Amino acid sequence: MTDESRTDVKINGDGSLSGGTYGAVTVNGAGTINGDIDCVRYTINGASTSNGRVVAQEITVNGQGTFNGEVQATSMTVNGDASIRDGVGISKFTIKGHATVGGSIAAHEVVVRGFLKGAGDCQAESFSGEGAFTVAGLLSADIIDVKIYGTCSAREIGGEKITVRSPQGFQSITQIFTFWAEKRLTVDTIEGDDVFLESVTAKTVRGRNVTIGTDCKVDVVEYSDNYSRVDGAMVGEARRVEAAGA
Amino acid sequence: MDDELISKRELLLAAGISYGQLYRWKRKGLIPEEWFVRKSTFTGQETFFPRDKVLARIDKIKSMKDEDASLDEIAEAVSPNLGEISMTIGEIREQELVSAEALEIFTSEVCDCEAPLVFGEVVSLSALDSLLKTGDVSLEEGRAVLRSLKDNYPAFEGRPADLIFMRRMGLSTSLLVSSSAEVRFEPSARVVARLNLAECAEALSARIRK
Repeated sequence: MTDESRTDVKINGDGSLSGGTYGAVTVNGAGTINGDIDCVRYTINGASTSNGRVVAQEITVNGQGTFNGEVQATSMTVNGDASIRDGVGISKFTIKGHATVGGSIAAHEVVVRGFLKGAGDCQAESFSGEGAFTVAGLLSADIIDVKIYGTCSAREIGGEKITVRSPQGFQSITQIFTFWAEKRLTVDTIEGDDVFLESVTAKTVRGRNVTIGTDCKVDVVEYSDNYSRVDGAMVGEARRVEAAGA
Repeated sequence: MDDELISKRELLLAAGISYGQLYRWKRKGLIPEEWFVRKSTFTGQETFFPRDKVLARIDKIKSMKDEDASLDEIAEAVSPNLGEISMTIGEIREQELVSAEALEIFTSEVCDCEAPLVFGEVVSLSALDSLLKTGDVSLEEGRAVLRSLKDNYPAFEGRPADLIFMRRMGLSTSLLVSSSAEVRFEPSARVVARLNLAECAEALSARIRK
């Protein structure tokens, strides 16, 4: 990547830009990008729509970003609202506002501190945060560690260490806004080596060490090493299965 | 020809691996998506795998890991970028990689140039060779299969495809199906061979490296 040939572009007010290779693209106001762009930084302070594929090292959405195409980035931070039509490949994907992804999500790290909605699978090395998410397909990561502050769902969750917590009691002033929302994760199947769950409704939970915490409703638990359940958690059936050798 | 299936739990047990490893390898593309077969059972949805393939793959991954290969290196080795297979007719003839008959049909039907073969051509040649080696496929039938591959394989655009060669009451025909497709035949039909085309090409390219 030769940065010398890349020019910086700024849209102040209302403007449009055609596809191409750029340095920093900054939209302060309302922007439209027609075509595929490849840029170093894409910053939206206001509203911007890109009609095409976006490849960037760093994307920051401080207002509203609409991406009618795929997104590939080293890092993407959504502080406002982002709506992406197709799939994304983002090394570090941070959502502090609201993000909707129409395709699958492939990332190293996903941090949700707002709301994430994915229409496909979500695959990462780590998936963490405090917020809410819905993933229509498989949510898979080595480490999944989430505290849920809303209605969450996924078809399947799989990984090494899966921790789902629900906030207990009154923790911070921000909770006033989410206090009445139902805080629950609903999922068909959870499979992991170490699984700790709170406020989860699941048909099947499989794992080596499984802990079913408060407010859970699980039809079947299959565990190989350890299993515990707090009083009040509903488990239809828990059965021990033979452990793998490793 | 149906591969025997193994459930995910049995697989973890048989291979001695954890859920974390299985999901990680899936994400890295070490275990192909089409091997994850979701089926409804009385306990709900369960995932199954083609037993022999997945166990062989996991063995390979584990042995490469023992040699300290990174997951990305393993991914490359187990699903080599097939576009990079490069061999010429001359090399194939010299090293006697395929039978003389297969090569003759191939050169007369497809091409006889010195340029490296493209991936589709390697697939066609290796599939033809495998079919002829079964001894159940005549040279003339091989020629017909080759034409069908030439015309139809590009439509799969690199997605995994199988070649099925079958015979019924003295007539023979071949068809191309996607690898995950389940195909059933009437009882009087006899399937002579079902070949995974990408595996054929991999096998041939493995021989040329030695």
